[in-house]
Amino acid sequence: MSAGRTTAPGVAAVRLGPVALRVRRRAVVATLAVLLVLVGVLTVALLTGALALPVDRVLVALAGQGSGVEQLVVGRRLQRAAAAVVVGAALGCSGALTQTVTRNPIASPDILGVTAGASVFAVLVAVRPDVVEGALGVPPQSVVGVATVLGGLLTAALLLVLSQRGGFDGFRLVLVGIGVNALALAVVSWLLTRAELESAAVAQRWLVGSLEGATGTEVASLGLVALPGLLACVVLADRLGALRLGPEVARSLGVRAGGTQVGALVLAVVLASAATAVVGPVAFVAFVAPQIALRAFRTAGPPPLAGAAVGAALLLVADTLAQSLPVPLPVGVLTSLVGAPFLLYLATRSLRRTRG
Amino acid sequence: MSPPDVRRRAPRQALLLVVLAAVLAAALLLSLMIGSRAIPAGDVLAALFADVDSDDATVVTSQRLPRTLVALAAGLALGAGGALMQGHTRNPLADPGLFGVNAGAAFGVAVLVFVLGVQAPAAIVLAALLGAGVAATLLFVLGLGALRGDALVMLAVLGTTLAAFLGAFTQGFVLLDRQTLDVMRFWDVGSVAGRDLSATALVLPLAVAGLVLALLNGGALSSLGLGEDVARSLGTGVLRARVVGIVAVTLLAGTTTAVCGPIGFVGLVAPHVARRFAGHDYRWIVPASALVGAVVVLVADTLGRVIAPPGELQVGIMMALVGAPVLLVITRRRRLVAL
Repeated sequence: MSAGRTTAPGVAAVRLGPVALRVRRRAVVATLAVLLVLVGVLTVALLTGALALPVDRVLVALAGQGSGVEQLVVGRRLQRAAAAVVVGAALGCSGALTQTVTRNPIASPDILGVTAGASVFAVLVAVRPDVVEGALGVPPQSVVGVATVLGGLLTAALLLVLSQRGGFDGFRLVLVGIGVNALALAVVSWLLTRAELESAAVAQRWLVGSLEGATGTEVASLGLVALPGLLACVVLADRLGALRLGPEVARSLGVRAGGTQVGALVLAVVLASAATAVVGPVAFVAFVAPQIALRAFRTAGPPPLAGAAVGAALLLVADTLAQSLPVPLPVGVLTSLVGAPFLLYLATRSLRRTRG
Repeated sequence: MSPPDVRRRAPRQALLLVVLAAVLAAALLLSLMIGSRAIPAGDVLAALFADVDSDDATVVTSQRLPRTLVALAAGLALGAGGALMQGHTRNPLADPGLFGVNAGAAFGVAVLVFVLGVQAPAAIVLAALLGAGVAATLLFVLGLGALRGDALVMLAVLGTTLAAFLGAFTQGFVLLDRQTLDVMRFWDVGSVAGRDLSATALVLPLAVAGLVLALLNGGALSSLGLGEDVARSLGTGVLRARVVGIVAVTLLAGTTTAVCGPIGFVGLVAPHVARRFAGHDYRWIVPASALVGAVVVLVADTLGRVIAPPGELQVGIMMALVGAPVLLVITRRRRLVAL
């Protein structure tokens, strides 16, 4: 392998036998930085917790030896970290896709109410398991995922229909999203007042978004959704890049704009809803992660894959932080506390630009 | 000073207020009549004004009258507060619920219960007022710069974000503490039923003060609608008008939220309806909006009692179910006009 001459500032050509790749230095550095954060926080997550375990015992347990308790504890920590990574990746990728298609940084599934709409269906199953069991004849836990994704898709369809008026309008979409979000939250609150306190406490925690209840099978099945989704982003990358220039330009570049938009949106909604089914609507990750990735990787638009990587790191950091508090908080509270000011910053900056 | 056409329209608008008041009276009566057990109008009036001793009379005086009065006060306050917010921010989407003022009040209450462990009604009212005041001030400061098309949207985003931010704290407290959860779980869904009447009596003077300030603020608000410079040249004390506005919105939204919990969308819907009839003069819009708000809350509460038997839909949820579609209609207008 030999580094070729620089083709443009910050871009290097890498040749490996017959294959040549153009590599942006910035992207390499940013990727390494994100990976470093991921590995670093993963280490912290595995080493810290209610039960203090020395490093060597954790390593022993990871290798599959050690006492039963140690294996159990490390196993749970690993599972929780895996959940954070997979959910964060799904949300980050989903946010980048919607932000790209709508060409609006605020239009991410959590702010538009897609995750809230998805959680309406999830809470319905969670607080009235008897009804679900009676109607479908299957255990309620098995349909939560399907119901949530279905709810997300329905919400997204509603959003698109309502914001359609003589063409697509990104601002109208955001306002409609705010309305739909309020509507979905109202329905959820109502469902909660009807529930027993025990399940309401569970549902409340679940609604804020928490990694507490995520089981291994749930994480694995989310992984089965997320992995093909990320691969699809690789396939779609060129077309999404063209779409960033607007549907008209994309069309003139030979990209089927409508089909790509629909495909990317469906993918985004499925990813976000599937993540919601596992951990609840963790707010602001889908919004913040692509925006951080955009700045860190200096890409032309919100990058889906880098967004996924940043989302994974972000959620893992947030959860590890939330766990290390004197009283552990669900991760959704922490992401809101970080994400909301960032949105305020973006919004006020755009206000100032509009005024000036 | 008032332009001649305003003076000419005044009798018509005064008539309008009378009509609205009549509608409100009808809504009040319906609220007393309708419920899980329907009571004819004659019996309601008898229970109110004659000394009748029957089951129906007990239901009317002990159950329906209190919640009807709370709904009336909440509706008046939220309607007037919404009109003030829309006038001052010149944003057609302004609403104490949508813009985070209610979330500020909820935040105040959660802090009180969680951090200090206090549950006394008076303290809750004070905390709600404080939270609402901080949120309202923040929004006004942000909103005054936002007078153009895109900024309208951004202000709505700012408001919901502020609500999300404060809501995250509230939710954190709720999750950490079962006592807070128990207080907030029912309080969090705005309702006029079963509210503590002593707390209501406590905040009533404050709400009335807010209402009076709101009505007094109307004239200044109308000239502020022409822009701050024009308003100043018309002799309006701009800063004073803004401060009065913030105080009035805080009192109105804060007291309502303190007693009923967050009820959204009344402040959004009422001014739009009022503007249809009352034109562009806030001296008329504010009282009309207050009356419309009261009618809306009463109707929503009454409908909520019968819409999903055997249970009830709380008025906060009813308002979201009715108000969110109205928001959608407003946003679907061809142009999002600034006020």
